[in-house]
Amino acid sequence: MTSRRTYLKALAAAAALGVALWGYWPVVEKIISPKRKPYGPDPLKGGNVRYVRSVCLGCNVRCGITARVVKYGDVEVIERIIGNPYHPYNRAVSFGKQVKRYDNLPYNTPVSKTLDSGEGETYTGMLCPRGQSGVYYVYDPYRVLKPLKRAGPRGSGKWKVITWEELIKCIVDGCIIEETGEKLPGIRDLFTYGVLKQAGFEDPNKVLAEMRNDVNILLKIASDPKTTYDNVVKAIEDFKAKWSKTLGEKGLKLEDVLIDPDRPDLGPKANMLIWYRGRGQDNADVFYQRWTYAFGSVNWLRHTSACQLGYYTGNKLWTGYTDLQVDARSAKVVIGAGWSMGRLHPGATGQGMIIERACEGELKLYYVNPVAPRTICRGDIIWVPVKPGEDATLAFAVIRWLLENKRYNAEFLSIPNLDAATKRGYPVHTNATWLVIMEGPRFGEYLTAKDLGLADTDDPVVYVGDGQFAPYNKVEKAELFFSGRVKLKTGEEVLVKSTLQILYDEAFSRSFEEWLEIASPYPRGTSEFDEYRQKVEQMTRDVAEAAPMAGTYIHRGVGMHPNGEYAAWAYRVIDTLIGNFHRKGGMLGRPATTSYNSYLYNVGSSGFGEPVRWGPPIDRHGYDYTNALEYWLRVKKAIKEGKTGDEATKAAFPTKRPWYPHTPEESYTETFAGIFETYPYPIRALFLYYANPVLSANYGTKFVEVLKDTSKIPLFVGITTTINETFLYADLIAPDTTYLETGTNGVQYLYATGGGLALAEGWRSPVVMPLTQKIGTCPNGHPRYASMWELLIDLGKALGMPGYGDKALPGVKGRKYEGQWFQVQCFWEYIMRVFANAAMHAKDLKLIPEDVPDEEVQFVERNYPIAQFKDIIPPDEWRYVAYGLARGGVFTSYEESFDARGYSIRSVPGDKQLRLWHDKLAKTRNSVTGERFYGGPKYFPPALYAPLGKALQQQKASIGPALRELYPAKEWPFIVVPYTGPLYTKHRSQFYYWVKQVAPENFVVIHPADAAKLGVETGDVVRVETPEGAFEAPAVVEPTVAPGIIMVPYGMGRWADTVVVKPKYFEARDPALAKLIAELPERVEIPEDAVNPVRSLPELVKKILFTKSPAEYYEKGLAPDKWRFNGVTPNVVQLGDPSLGNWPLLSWLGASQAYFDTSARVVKTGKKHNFEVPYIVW
Amino acid sequence: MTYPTYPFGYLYPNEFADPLVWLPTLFAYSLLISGADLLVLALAAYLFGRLKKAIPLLLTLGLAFFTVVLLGPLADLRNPDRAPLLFSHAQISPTEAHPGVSLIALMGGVIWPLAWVLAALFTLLYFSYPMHVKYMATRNPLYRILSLGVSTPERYKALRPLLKVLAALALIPLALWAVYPATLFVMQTNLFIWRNWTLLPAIYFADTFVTATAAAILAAWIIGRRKLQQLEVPSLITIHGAGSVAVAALLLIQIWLWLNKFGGSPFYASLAPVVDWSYVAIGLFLLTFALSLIASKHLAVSLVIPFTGFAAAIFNKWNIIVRAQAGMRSGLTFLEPGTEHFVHEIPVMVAIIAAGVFLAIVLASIFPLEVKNHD
Repeated sequence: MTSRRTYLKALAAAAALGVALWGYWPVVEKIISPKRKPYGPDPLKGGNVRYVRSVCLGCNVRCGITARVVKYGDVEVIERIIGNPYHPYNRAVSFGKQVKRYDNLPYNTPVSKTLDSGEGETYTGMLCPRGQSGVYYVYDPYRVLKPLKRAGPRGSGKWKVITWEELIKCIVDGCIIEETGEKLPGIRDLFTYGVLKQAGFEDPNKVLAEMRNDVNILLKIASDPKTTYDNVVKAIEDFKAKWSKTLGEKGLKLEDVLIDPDRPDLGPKANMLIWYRGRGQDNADVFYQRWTYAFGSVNWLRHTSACQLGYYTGNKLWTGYTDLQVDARSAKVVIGAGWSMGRLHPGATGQGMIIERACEGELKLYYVNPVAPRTICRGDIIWVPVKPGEDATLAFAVIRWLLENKRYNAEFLSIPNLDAATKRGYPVHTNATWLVIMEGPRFGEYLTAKDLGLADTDDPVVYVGDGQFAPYNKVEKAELFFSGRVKLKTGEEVLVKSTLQILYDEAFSRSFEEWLEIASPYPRGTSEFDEYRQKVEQMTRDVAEAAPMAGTYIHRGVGMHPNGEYAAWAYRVIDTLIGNFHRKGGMLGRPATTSYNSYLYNVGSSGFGEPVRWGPPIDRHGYDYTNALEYWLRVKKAIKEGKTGDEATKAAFPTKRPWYPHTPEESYTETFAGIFETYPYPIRALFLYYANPVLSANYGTKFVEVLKDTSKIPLFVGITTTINETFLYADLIAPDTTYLETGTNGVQYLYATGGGLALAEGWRSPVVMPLTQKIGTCPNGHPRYASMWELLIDLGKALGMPGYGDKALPGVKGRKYEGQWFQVQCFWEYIMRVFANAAMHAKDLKLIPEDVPDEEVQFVERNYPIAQFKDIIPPDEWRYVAYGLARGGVFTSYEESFDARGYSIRSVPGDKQLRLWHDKLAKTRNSVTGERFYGGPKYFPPALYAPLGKALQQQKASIGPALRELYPAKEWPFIVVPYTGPLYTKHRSQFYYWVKQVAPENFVVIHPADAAKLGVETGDVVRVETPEGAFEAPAVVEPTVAPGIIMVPYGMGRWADTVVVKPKYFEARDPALAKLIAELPERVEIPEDAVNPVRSLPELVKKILFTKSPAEYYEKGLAPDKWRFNGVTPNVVQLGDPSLGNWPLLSWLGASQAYFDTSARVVKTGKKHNFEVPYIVW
Repeated sequence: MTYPTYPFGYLYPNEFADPLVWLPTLFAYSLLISGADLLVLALAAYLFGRLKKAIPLLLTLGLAFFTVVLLGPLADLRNPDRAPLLFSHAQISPTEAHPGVSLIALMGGVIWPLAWVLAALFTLLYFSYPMHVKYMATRNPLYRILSLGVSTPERYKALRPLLKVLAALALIPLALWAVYPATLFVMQTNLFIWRNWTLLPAIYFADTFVTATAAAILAAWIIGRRKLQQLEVPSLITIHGAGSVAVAALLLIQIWLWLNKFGGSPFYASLAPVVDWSYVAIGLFLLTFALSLIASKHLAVSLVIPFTGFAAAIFNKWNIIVRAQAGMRSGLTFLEPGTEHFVHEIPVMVAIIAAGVFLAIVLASIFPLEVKNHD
């Protein structure tokens, strides 16, 4: 008989089992019926599989990729993107080589060995999540596939489909917006070359060249000290009379050719057309530069102000070369300032090497940033927080320490010229010993041999000791420090200093602690500050110990402040002092490339008969105001009115907008401000390509005022894959191809440091054929697809522009095709010759072997879409092209990139002089106040361009009030720091849905101490108020930002991407801007057949791509998806510069967008936010 | 308050936050590791000839808990059906290509199966002759099978050297398992507090003995008040008391170490929430220690001990695992545990403990809890 005890036991057991099964059932269920389809390991081969080596554009780093394309029935799908083991950024990874992955695969490794040859190791390369998500560029439901014309007022979001032919005709000759009755002007009458040709001038370039020559003569007359205002006016009248007569003979007027006959220096009317692009990618970049130049416009403009212009300008002032970084492959100590881990070149993939070296104890990285690094690598990545905009003070603390402790390379610095430097084995010299006049009207100019009567030259002078001076190029060594009064030949006595002495004086103007007091987020006198000081001192000591295998690695965070160029330069002074230039472990420029634009075929942007052009660009970059007639007319007029000297010069100021003679590239703000102010001239047509200034620039919403105004931009042509916040205001949309199709094909140079290689270039060719509308065939039968390339070819042909049609590409002089011309009727005819140039040059450099094995060619012919166009070039050229294509470019090896002494074998970048002073900068004037800028690295607090108010602008100041005076910390205790990382870019990655699964949304990060004061906790929604408006976002409370910082990860906050979702997260303070945002359409009207290449994909592929999105999104293509439009961007409320009409704040010298200076305050809203939980599958 | 340097970098809050915030599942998992301690006690008792009468109870309870211990991590996997891959592709030895060893792989893929097989084998052999006796009494063929053919005391005696070898062998992997989560926390995580919790393995070891003995005492009471002496509950009480006072002492020493190393710095301020709870845990451990002193004289009081012991251990483990993660945020753990974690994990936590209890009842029904001495 069963006992009661047994019953109880059974009952207890049953109960326990029941509870166990109840609680654990969800897990059991997942085991017995997993909710996913098993997806086998990548076979890396197979009949339906192709592989193409190309170049990534997930960000702008240009890593190598290997795309795997699989055929599902008739549909080809890019299924996977991995790294290219031949490329230095991706480095070679194999099963047996998974640590210390620093080397790319030897270039001559047979391609079969990289793809499961069955002969041992299979090599692949690493690639970051952005790169792997690149398929979303192609498979984007919002992609526009057909040409569109607006069907309502600008910005209404109403579009209709037009044919390719209608698009071309409308751009060339204009057309009517039927719905509004507006007339869109064409560009034919702006094409000055064509206007002259049509009028009967047989050689328009002869006319234009003569006209330009006359303009130069005019400027010479104007700038002659002996000429008067009346002389200049008369010279202009003479010019007009001459050219009215010449043009009149053919029925033309001056106004038909020149923008402003009274100001012929502004150039021909062709300048009224602007080409503006976002990220630049050869050969697309060269191709549209070629088109812009073929049109005759100087306005080929780039987005660099939003990218790295402050850094570029700082470098240029330093040594005449824009892009230089420390060689992270061999450096032992790196000061990495102002860049975010995973974003700066060489990107998340390339930076893996830096991080791995740090983790292996081979490199110490000091991460100078208001935001913490994402890893500390066992303590070898050390966070040195810095206040935004105060980088120069940190650099000066280091400089001071190096000078005080005599830890600089005195031998190197004392060499005053290149010859002497070369003799001692250095590839460059410095101007450390050159003497500068430090007082009087010539303040900042070099003391010259002529000044002292040493020679009749303007050669700078150095002090050689014992009271003796010498021209810099007559001695091999000079004194480093000199400060004293010298008597000039004129009898005048002036104070002069060596440039190193000037630097010394600046560095010693504050103590080490005083410099750090400005840089550090911790108050002096606290234990945190003491620790900070010790850390910086250790950093400096480490740099000194490791020199020259040490250096600075700086980027936009340093340069994108009003004072950015001075700060970038200050960091580069550290490199100068330790003498690390152009050597292993030290400062390197970009790798060299092959002559891919001009080896056999001239596919470059000049030399094909393009029109003669002149005049300043609309943003006045790289153009000296003193070369403008406006300047001289104002000066001479002032002289006529009795002013003299400096007063007369100052009468040329203020100008309507500033001029930027020292900046190497273009500025978003100054372009749109220039268009708005019609300064220096009005604009008629804007071609915008692969850009989104409204969202990506600080306070870029301000640009909407211009974009929406049809009187300021009568014709706006957008060339794009989706209609973003800027293209929303276009009149016409030309659909473009992505980088995995024909978009941005060609040869990609690499940025510094390109893996430290002497020569490296990636080749981007199509992975799949384009998904945009097929628009016809080439005469040779090859297909043509709607894209930027074909648009410009057809426009060129329609206008009769040189460089298009039958006689387009000339053979290069002195090579086998000299005297021959080649046709360009379609994209393939251009791009095949680019690759032929690169391949034939690489062969002659012995990088590509003379005898290319058949299997290499067969691999490309079997796998690459571009192989079907091989008939365009001769078979012998094709073999070499195939070899390069199979490897995704031409790459050398790191070890072979240096000579026995450790110097790079690449040609020395820049002008072979490292400057501590720039006399031309010292002569340049602030365009508002007319005061001179300081000519060397120096600390200035972030400030406005000029004093506020007209009366104040008369005061003697080269810059305006400090931002902290204008927006005191008491009222605005925070600075907003937008930040990127390895997952997102500024505005082009919102559709990376695989990445979205990891980090679906963004937020603001606030320091716990600050949060405690505000009573804010993680998940609280806060309102971040700035002087320009406010935005709301959830807070994350973490000590991963310095106190006083509000960090916002970039990548979200979109409101237009073909579909429009009105933004609710921000408000603009300016009522005009608020109105423009309020006027955004509630919904867009686009025919459904004009968008969405996704719907025809296989079902499984769609589900893999859009796991968490509703089917409506990817089936229909015009349904809003929450992931596309969630999150925030702080750009919308960043600071304007009230001294310059409140246009977005810029750096003073480079016109770089200043992203990191916006003062803010934070208010708790009382709302709560639940962070979206990511879905990770292991 | 300021933070001079953030020690371990950061991730965005929604990067990897959810799957790696280990909450109740890990907590239950840690509790069930007491199964390893019960087995350690049983095997040590066998080796040293002590606590002989408690061995059957310790073995059945220990084997039950240790068997279900991996259900916790299994539930944490997004795709538990792929769990076999963890074993088939475990990184258990360093190579040039894959330097380092994964402690998780080693413990899950090698040490747990080894310990379980050895412990199970020991248990089967230990109960072989008693099962024959039970067979003879009931004629249940299952018992005959479980007797493994050991039908005489002589044969059973002859097994003793083998049992001693098995016990000695099993002790090593079981001891490693007893401190495994603590070792993992100290060695292979990026949580500042765990990396600096020097005494955590020792605390864990002592703490799991408290849980193990509490479970055994409770089981003894369930079996019957009259059998307390027979099941050597007084000895278990002694071990319980020793474990409790050891944990209390170790916690105090750890706090003292932290004060010495970080006192006055922002880091200590970050440790404070855990330290505060540690004081409460110390109090609870001292309470259960005091009760065990009383219970050694008044056996009836031992009924309270399992509850005070569990309370102390649960409080302490929650503090170590959950509060340390939520309070000392860095690296992988930004977010406070959301409601959804509890909704998902508490049933799982209860389920795996229930599974252990179920298995214990089953084993206790099969194996006799009284084994005659055949020496």
